[in-house]
Parts: sequence; structure tokens; C-alpha cells
Amino acid sequence: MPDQRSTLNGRLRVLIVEDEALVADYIADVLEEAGHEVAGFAATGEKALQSLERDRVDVAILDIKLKGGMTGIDVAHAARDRAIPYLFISGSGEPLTRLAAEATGPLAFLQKPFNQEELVSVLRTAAEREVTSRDASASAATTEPPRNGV
Amino acid sequence: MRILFVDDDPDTRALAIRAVTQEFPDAEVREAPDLNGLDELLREQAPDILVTDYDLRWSDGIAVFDKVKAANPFCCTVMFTGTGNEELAVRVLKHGFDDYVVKGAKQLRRLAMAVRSAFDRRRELLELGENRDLVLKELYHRLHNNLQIVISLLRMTEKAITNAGDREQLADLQRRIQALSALQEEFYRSEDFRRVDFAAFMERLSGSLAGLSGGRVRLALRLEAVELPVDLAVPFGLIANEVLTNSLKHAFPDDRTGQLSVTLQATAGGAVLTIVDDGAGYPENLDLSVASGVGMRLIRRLTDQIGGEVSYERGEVGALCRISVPL
Repeated sequence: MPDQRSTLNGRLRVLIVEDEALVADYIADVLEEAGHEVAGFAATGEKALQSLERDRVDVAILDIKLKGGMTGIDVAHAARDRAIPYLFISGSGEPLTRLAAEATGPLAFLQKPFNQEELVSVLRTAAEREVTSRDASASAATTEPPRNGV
Repeated sequence: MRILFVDDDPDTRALAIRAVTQEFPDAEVREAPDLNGLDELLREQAPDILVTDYDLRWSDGIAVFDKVKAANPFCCTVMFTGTGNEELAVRVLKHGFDDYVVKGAKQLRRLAMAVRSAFDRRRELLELGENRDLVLKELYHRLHNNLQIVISLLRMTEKAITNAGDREQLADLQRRIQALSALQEEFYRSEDFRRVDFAAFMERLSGSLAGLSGGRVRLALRLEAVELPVDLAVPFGLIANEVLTNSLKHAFPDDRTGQLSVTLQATAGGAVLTIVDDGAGYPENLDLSVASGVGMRLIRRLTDQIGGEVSYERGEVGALCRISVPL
């Protein structure tokens, strides 16, 4: 599979899946200030899937309750199929929802309201992992695979 | 659905079973002939409905009620007895039976009706309880989303302000709302909505604030199990938020690394929280007991409110703050 990731010096392209516009803006603002980039916004699971398909996404931030028929957990499965790491943000205190979300293997599960430090710290860890795994695959191959869409 | 019949007289038992199962044709019928039989039945599976006599050779109807209710608190209970008088009827109903029917050939239909209406009432109550749980979950979800929107609005406002001091005040306010919300979450997690698992709260608060240092400050947590009533946990939690924020913001300037220890101890009279850092220490010329910043004012006011005590110590390195609260 060609490397479509854009991580360079820990800069991540982040897809924000959140149906509350002000919260989506807040997330965008915080992650841009931390040196990352918004890959796209999606307020529904369907839009999120299109974006995962179409855009270069390094990490997805997923609200669980979304407008429309899909949940953030549905989107997580699609992200996992594409080996795109993701984290959940949720206002639900339901232990079962949280269990179901955590069973998919996210980077983190942030309970709303979360603060910017929590979010930035999860993204920092994600970026470090991304760089490490890229270095590992780069040293495994003699030539780096071609980058698509750059 | 399971119905348990308890009566020493097999003929009466058979009549009662026939009458009640006409009303509940699909019910699974159980009979308890003696105490051992009852215990065994309850161990297997608790009934949904109990029909019991009062006078039993081996016990009485009230003791049977207690055993059955211990196994299934939602079980419907009807006493069907021949030894009835007004005094017993009052006692039985006060004890918690749903209904009381005096034995007699013409009373069998009444018994069936009494069981039916008790069962329907119980089901309505259960449904109401389920609805209440749903409403509660929705409210909780809404509350947390709204708090997230409040934090987003504060951040937008913060960005529009150019003065660095003012911006910092707004960032602090965001953290205070965050702390309140974490307390709210612990409160929701407790079963009776009255007590907060303060150790769990401190773990979450410390972890989330540690991000302020960008990973430079290592946390050392020693948190004993302490449960606090909500009216104590909220002010105590806000105080803890201020002390931790102060340490993380001021103890490690110029990208210093260090350690922050948070210790929560349960004492005979309450709880003690000790926060120690190995950072720059309190400024020499600062009198902490009269310092006028919002954070220090909050600490003083809230400590007064809960009748607690706060003390500060300057160590050879770093700073220590100890807050004790009475229970």
C-alpha cells in the first residue's frame, strides 16, 4: 500500500468528525495552534467516510453521537480498515458506549468537555508513533515508496 | 414469568394456582412446601409474583416476604390468608405487600384480580424507572456537550483578546469549568448521585492538567480511596485545581523539567491533599495568605466554606501545599 501520510516533523493532517460546529471550530483552532493541519470537517458519519476515502488523513477525531444514521464508532471501523489512527471525544457517560468505543482500539477516549492540553497531548503521542513507524518502514525498504497525491 | 405459591394446605394451594394461572396462563408455577424448599427455589431463580399464606407451620408470610424480596426486590406480593383480621391486614400492607385477600371460595377471583393489578402496577413503575434512566442519560450527555460548547466559546473569546494577561485569565476559567465538569462526571458515576470518588477525580484532574507542562513534568500520584459528599467534593476539587494549575504554571519556568507529587490521604476526621513540586518554589516576596489573584482568592474562600485548612511550605527546593478538609 502506498504511503499516503503527510506527517513531516510531527505535523498531522486531522479529520474532525463532530456535529457541533462550535466544538469542531474549537478543535480545529487548538490543533492548528499545536502545529497540525485540518484535513476536513464532517458532521455526519457518511461525510466522514467520504473524507477518509478522498482526503489525506493522518488522524481522525471522532465524536460518537453524530447527526444521521451512523455513529463515530462506525466511522472508527472504516478508519481502522485504512490503518488511520483515531481518537474519540464524547459527552456520553454511558459505560457500554465507552466500552464499545475502546474495543475498537482508539488512540484515546476523551470525555467532553476536554481541554486543549489533553487533546494536544494525544496528538503529540500520535505524531511520535507515526514518525517512529515511518522511520521503521523507511529503514526496512531501500527506497521510500512513492507518495500519492502530494 | 414465575409465580411462587406458599401455603401449607395443598388443596388451597391448588385452588389458588388454578385461579391465578387463569389470569396468567403462561406463568411458570412454583410451590414451596417448607423453608428448605423455599431457600432452594430462591437460589435457583427468584419469582416475579409471590402468593403466600400468613400462618405456616414452618414460618409466617412476612418472613417469606422478606426472603423473596431479598432475592427479587421487584417481586409482586399478595397475602392470601384465612387467619385475617384488620390488624393483620394493616401490618401486612405496612410491611410492603401489594395486596391482602381473605381466603374463601368466592375470593379466588378476587385473588386473581389482586395479583393482576399488583403486577401491572409494578410493571408501570419499572417502565417509569427505565424512562427516568433514559432522561438522566440524555441530560448528562447534553450537560457535557453544553460545557464543551462553553469552553469553545471561551476559547473563541480568548483568541479575540490581545492582552496576554486577559487571555491567561480566560484560559484559567476554561480549566475551572473543566474541573467542575470532571467532578460532575464522578458524581454521575456514583450509584446514589450523592458521593464522589475523589481519588478518581484527582487522577483525572492531575492527568489532564499535566498536559500544561507539555510532558516536562512527571506526575507521582498516591491516592487513597476517599469518597466525599457532593457539597464537599465540589469546593475541594476546585481548590485542588487551583493548586495544581499554580504549580504547573509557575514551578517550572524556562522549560524546566521536574516532578509533581499529589497525595490524597483519608484521615480519621476527613481527608488531606498534599501537592509538592520540586520546581522554583514560591516567590520570596509573596505572602500567600493575602495574595490577591483569582486563584488564591478561590482557594481562601472555598477553604473557608468547607471549614478546611490550607498551608504552604517553602522547601529547600520546590513548594508544598497541604489542604485538609473535615468530613
